[in-house]
Amino acid sequence: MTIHASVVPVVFLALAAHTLSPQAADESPVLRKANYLAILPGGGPQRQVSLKAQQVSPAYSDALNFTLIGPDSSTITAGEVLLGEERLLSIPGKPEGLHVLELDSGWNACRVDPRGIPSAMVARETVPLHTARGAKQLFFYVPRGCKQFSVWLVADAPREGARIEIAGPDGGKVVEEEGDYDKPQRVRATVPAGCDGKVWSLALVKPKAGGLNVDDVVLWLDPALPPYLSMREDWALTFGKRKGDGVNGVLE
Amino acid sequence: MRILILPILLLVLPAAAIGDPPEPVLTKAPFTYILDYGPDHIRSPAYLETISQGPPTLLHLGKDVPFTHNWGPIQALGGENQAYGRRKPYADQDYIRRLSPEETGQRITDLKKLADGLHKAGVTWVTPYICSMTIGGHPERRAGFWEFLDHWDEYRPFDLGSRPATDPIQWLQVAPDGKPVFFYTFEGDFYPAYEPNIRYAVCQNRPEWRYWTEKIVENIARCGFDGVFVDNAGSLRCHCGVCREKWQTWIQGRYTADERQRLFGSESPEMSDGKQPGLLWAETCRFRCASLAEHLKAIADAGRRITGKPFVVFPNGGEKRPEHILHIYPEADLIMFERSVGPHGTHPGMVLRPVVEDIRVKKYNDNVFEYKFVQCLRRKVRPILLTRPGYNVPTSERKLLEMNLASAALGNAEAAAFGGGGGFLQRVDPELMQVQKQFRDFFERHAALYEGLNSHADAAVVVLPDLAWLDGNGRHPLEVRKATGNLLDGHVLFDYLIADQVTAENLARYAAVVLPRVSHLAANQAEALRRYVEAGGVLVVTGTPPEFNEKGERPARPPLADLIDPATTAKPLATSQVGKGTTVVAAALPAEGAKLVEWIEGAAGRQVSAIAGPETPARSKVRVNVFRQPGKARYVVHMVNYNVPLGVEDRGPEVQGPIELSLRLPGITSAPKARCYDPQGRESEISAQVRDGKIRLAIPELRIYKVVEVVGS
Repeated sequence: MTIHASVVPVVFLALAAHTLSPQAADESPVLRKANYLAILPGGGPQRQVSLKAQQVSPAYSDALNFTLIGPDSSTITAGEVLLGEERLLSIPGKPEGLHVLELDSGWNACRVDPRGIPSAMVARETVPLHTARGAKQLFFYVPRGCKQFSVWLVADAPREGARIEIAGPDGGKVVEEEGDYDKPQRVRATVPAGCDGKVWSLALVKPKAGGLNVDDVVLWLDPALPPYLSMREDWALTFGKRKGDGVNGVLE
Repeated sequence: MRILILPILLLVLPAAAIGDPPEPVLTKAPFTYILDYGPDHIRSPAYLETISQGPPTLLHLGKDVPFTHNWGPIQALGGENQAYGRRKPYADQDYIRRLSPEETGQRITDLKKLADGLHKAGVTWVTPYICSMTIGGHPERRAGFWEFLDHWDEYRPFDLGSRPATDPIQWLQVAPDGKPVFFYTFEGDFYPAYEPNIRYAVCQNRPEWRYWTEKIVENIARCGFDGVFVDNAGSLRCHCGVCREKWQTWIQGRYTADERQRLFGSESPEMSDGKQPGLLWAETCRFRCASLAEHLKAIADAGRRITGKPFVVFPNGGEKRPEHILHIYPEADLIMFERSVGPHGTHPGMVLRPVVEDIRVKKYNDNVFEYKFVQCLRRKVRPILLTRPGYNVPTSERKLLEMNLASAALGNAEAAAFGGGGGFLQRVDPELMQVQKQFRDFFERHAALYEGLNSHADAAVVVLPDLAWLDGNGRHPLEVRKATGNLLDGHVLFDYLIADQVTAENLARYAAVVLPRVSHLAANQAEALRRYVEAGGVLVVTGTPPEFNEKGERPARPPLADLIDPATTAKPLATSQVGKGTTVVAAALPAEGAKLVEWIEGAAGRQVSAIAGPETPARSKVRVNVFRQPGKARYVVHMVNYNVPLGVEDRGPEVQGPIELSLRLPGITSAPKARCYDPQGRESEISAQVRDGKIRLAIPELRIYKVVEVVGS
């Protein structure tokens, strides 16, 4: 049996080991292990997302395996991106509705650039976001009426931690916290009056305290929030207002 | 007090790879298996009644033994190394309180009744737990094992013989600096599960420890048990004086002085510390494996001395250690794969994982590599799989990954289809036991479908477990997994070939041979592959072709220089004609899909899939395996449907069918007789035709497992 992967090799980047390419506009943070990108193709003509597989260490040989899953949970496309390569993955216009792109880079890393297709990383307790080297800005929606929410973090490798900066709709920092997060830990945020029903953002950066680096961080949003982290503010609004499934599916 | 002076005469380990490979061992009937570490089995008619409702072939108990390996005779029963390792006030009971000789005598009486009762309930083999290397206690406070040793002579009625002359602190495995090796590290003054005592790892090469192991096994055998489960059977990292002395004998038996000087830089090289992969590390590991195999043999011999019949030795240590299966366990009776952790648990079947909104991802678990690798060794050992939903998984996750009635059936089917006589672990659960009972009844009624066969395949994957030591980069085993997945999804019948099996005679049986990211290859294996390709075979090489020989030397020409043009290795995929055959060189193998099958079919110019007709993602998870009766036109075809949802939600299997099998079965040239069996369904005759040199059989539907016996007329 062959599931044909409609992928087009574009550039062989021949990345040296240890180097991770700089983040482009709209591009995801560096991802490790299994992550899920929610995609709304929109019913128009076929479009493409870009997938890059990056080697973290010569010790790891895992390529990036991807699976595009349709609204009915069927597999539309599955395939692999070899280390150091970038590939364009075609997203069919139909069927319409929410798709999910599974990205499993194992111990290596990957990046995805949705190239304008509305999309968001899924970040819920059972399907958390696995990032590496921090995340510069990810947008999420705080539903109307939400008074408080939490973001959960784990950075269980020795000498690794994170500094999380949560910004409100005007870009002002609401929460700044850092730690080693060796065990799952919640970071609480109180929603000021008038800041609900709007898009917020968060960033993961290197802790200011000495001795800790930011690298592998597992992150998820608590059920008070829709389980989506977007690379663009308008996408966060689109995903945030979707009808949910009852868990991290917040109805307004 | 008599002190036994143990002979320090060291047994000389047989230098590996002496003489011809052993005669291949054919398949045996599969069996059913329950592991139950409960503490309350003796004097329990209720327990015997429970087991009698669905007795497994093999029942594996905890420390239901007269003398535990780690403490001596103690109050507690059941559990493994960690369980019941404390006494008051550190636990609610005096679990490790030493039994008096009178109490020990009563314990033996109780255990004899237990063993007898379990046999009468229908269990064939009852095997309690011992460990290859653990003792607990405190040498200064003379607690635990030390306390028992100080009272050794009181237990003379149990045929313990003389007390070992040395203190157990001298038996410990030690690092090159002489410090004890702790496999289970801990902070503070004690090992938490043994509070306030310490868990030590003992060296299996120490004669005193071997002597004690034999004594505990003899007493277990006297209770009427059929064998022992041996935990930590692959755990030896010792540099003690005994090991160093045995090592020198070992290495001198393997290489001449000149070779030792050339390969290791010394005529008397010390054991490697494992910091660098390479030949010295490989030889160090092979030496330790041989030591551990010798330890297991001592256990088997001790049991047999008492019972007068074969004593089942059932070590743990197969998981992610094919090199240990090859070097330690080939002559054990069984080998356990303790598969506790996987991204989706490890129970076989289909995981439906909610991602977001209504979307779920389907993931499949299987244990085909584990079963098939052991079967393909064609040695005495048989595989056993322990699977779990995972460790410490949240309740919501556990609900998705838990075993249910259908997946229990799948587990037994998988063992039967791929294990060549394997078993699948279930727990004591009345409903699950009824599923198991169906399978045991089937295996025993239809033993002829399973016994005395050899696997029949169109392709072979070369598996070189020693690369774990020689290159240490882990790429080869990952690639083997990928090749396995590709061939399974493509329904290609395949074997694994270990180094000794890469011979021209063996290779000639296959349409294609896969060499997955192999870094080291011996000259005779390279020559066998060259002859195979030149005679018309298809060789698929993935990753960088081998550059080293089996000793880690870089020969003047790469081992496969005759088959692979160096220019082709820079390309993602290159195909070359060599003689009558074809070499396919690929940079990497996709983890999923069946790209490998496309390459093979393209090069071979024919279909190799055992299933004809249109393919779907679900159908790709129907796995096929075939065995043949040597010298006869009789085949047994196994079909297993992995579209069996895991989890507590009541979902039935996604039934597949109709399925048309398309099989190349040498010796059958006209319509054969075919009979289809299902442990959970009816038997039926099915029609079979020969078309284009292949046998065609239509299976109307496949729920979980079917077996088809095909006999040429």
